[in-house]
Amino acid sequence: MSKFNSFINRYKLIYKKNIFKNILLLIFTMTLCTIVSIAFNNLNMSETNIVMIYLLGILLYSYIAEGYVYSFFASVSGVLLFNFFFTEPYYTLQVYSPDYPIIFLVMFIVGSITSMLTIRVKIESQLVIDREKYISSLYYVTKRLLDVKSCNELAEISADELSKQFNADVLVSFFNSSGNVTCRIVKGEDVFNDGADYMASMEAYQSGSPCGYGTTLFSGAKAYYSPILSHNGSLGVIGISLRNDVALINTQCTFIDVISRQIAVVLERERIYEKQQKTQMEIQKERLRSDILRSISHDLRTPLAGIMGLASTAHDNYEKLSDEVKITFLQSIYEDADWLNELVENILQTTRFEEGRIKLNIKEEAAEEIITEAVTHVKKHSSGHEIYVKIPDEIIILQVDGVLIRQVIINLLNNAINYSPRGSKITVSLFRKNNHVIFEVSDNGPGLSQEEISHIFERYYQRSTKVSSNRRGMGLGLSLCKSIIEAHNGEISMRNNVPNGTIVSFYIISGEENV
Amino acid sequence: MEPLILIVDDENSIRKFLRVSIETQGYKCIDADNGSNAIMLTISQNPDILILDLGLPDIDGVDVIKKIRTMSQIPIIIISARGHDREKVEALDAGADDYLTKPFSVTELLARIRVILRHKSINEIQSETENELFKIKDLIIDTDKRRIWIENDEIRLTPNEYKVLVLLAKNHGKVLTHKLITENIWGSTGIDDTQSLRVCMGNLRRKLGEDPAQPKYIITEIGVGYRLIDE
Repeated sequence: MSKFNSFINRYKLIYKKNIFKNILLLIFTMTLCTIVSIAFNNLNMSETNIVMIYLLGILLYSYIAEGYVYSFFASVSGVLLFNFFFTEPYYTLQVYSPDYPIIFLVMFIVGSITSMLTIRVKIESQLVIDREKYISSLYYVTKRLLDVKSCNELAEISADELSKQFNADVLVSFFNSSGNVTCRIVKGEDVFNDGADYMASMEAYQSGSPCGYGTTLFSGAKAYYSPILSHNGSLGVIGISLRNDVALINTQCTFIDVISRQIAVVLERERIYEKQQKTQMEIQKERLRSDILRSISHDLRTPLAGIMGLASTAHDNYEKLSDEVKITFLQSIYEDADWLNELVENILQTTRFEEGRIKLNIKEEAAEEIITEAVTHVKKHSSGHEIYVKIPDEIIILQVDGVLIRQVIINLLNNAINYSPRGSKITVSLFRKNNHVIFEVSDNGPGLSQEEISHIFERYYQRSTKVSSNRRGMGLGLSLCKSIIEAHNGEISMRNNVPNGTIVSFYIISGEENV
Repeated sequence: MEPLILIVDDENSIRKFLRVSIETQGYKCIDADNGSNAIMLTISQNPDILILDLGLPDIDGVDVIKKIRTMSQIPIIIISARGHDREKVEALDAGADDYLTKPFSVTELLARIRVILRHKSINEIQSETENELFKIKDLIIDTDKRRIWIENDEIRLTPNEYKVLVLLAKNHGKVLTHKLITENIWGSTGIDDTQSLRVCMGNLRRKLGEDPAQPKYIITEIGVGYRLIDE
C-alpha cells in the first residue's frame, strides 16, 4: 500500500504543475459537452442522451486529467451545466420536476465512480509498467554486479549503474574492517567531499541508517547516503545526489536499499576470496621458509662438518701431524668459515629485503670505486682465477647504495668463481649506454643452458650441474642481487658468453648524460 | 717499554683470541667487557691503543668514544658488525682512528695497530714539521717542493688533488672519512661535496695509473672513506 501511496504522491506533484492546464481542459470539455448537448436538444433528442454526453465528457476528462479532485469537479460541473441548460426552468439552477434531483444525484455518483475507476486503472497500469522496469533494471544491475572480479570493479560498476538509473552524481565507497576507505569511486560531479556531506557519509557508514538530503539526519548535505550493510556490519556507503535539489522518493530509496544489499553480498564474496588468496600465499611463503630452513641446515652442515673434522683431527693428533699438514688444515678451516660467513650474510640480507626492512642509503658513488672494492674483497679470499676490470676513462657517478651494489658484484664474482674451473678468466666491465650505466661480470667457464638461465634468478634455485666446487650457494645470491638491483630501479639479466661461459649484466639509470 | 693495548668486547671468545694474537706480537694486553669499565681502564691504565667493539651491553660504542675523547687522545680502533655502516662512520667522525668489520683477520688488525703505533712515534719525534718527504712504494711526495713522482716520472696534479693526496699520505694506512676529507679540502661549508670528492679521487687514481682490479696506492672503503696504502 505504501508503494501505491507513493504513486499518489507522485501524481499529486504532477497535478500541482498542471493545475492551470487542467482547469482550461475542464472548461473546454464541459463547453464541448454543452455545445453537443444543445445540438442534440435542438434535434429534440431525449434528456437521457444529454446525460450520457456529460457522463462521457466527465469520463474522458478524468482519464486525461488524472485526479480524483478533478473528476469530482467535473462531475459537479456536469450536473450543474445540465441543470442550467437543459432542465425547466431553463438557464437557472432551479428545477420544477421532482425527478431531476434524483437524476442529478445518479449522474453525479455515476460520473464520480466511473472516473475514479478510470483513474485507478490508469494508475495501476502505470504501476505495473514501473514495477516491471524496476524489476528488470534490478535484474540487470544484479547480473552485472555478480560478474565483477575485484572490489574496485564492483565499486566502479555499481556507481556506473546507479548513476544511469537515477541520472545523478553517485559516490560508492568501501571501508575495511578498521574503518579506512579502501575504495572510492565517484560518477559525475564529486559533491561528496564537503564538510556536511563527508559527515553524513561517515554517519551513514557508522550508524548503518540512511542520512543526508531528504532525511532527518544531516539534511544540509547535498546528497542522500545509504549504508552498504551485510550481516557482519557496515561495509561502505552509497551517496546519491539528484541534481536540482530533488529528494529521492520512496521507491528510489527501496531500489538503493536492494542494490546496496546486492553490493554487500558481492563485496563480502570478494573479501573472502582475497582473504583466501592471502592465506594461500602465506601458506606458500611458510612452505618456502621451511624449505630454506631445511636447505640452510643442510648447506651449513657441510662446511661445519669440515671445520669440526679438521679442528678435532688437528687437536687429537697434534704431535703426529707435520706443520705443513697443520697449516693446510688451518687454511681449510679458514676457507670454510669464510664461506659460511658469506652465506650467512646473504641469508641476513635476503630476509631483511623480504621483510622490507632495508632502507637504501643512497649517495653519490663512483661506479669504479664500487667495482674496485668488490674485486679486491673477492681477490683476498680466492686465488686461482684471473680477474680483470675494464672501466671507462670517464668517471661515472651514480646515485646508489654503494654497500649493496658492492654486495651484488661480490655475489656475481663469487658465483663466477664457484662455477668455473680454476684458471678461468673473469672480467668485470663498466660502460655507459645512453642513460644506462651497465655493469657486467663475465666468465669463460662452462656456461649454462637456456633452461637454467630462465630460472636462475628464482629464489632457492640451484644449478644441478656442479663444476669445480663442492660449495653450494642455496640459490640466494642471485635472487638477492635481483632484489637489490630492482630496488635501484635497474634490471639484471644473464646471457651466454661467446664461445662459452656466462655474462651477468645489470644496469642502473644515471641522471646525467656525462660528468 | 712494550705498548699496552686495551681490548673492549663483550664476547669472551673474541677477547680471548684477540688477546692471544696481540700478545704473540709482543704487546701487553688488558681487556674489558663493557663501556664503563673501558672508560675507567682508559683513565687508570693509560693504554697506548684502544680496540673497541661498537656493540656493547651498557653504553653505545659511539658514546664511549665521545666520552674518552673529552679527556684523552688515545688512538681508537673500532670493531663493527657487518651492515652497521652508518654507526661505523659515526664512530670515525666522533674521533675513532680506524675500523675493522667483523669478521676480520688478525693480520689486518695487527697491521692497523702497527700503523697507529708508527704514526704515534712520528708525531712524538717530529711533532708537526710541515714539510716532509713521503715515499710509498713507487710514489714520492715532496711537500717542500710540492712535487710528486712515480718511478721518477713527475705527475701533475690540480691543487685539490694534491691536497687530498698529501692528506692521505700524512695519514697513510689510516682510513679517512669522506666528511673529514671534504672538510679539509673544501672547508666545512656544510654543503655535501661528495660528488666533487668522487671526481677528484677518480682523476687522482687515473693520474697515479691505478689498476682498478688491484689498486696500488688508494684503497676505497665504500660508504666510509679512503685510505692510502701502508707499505
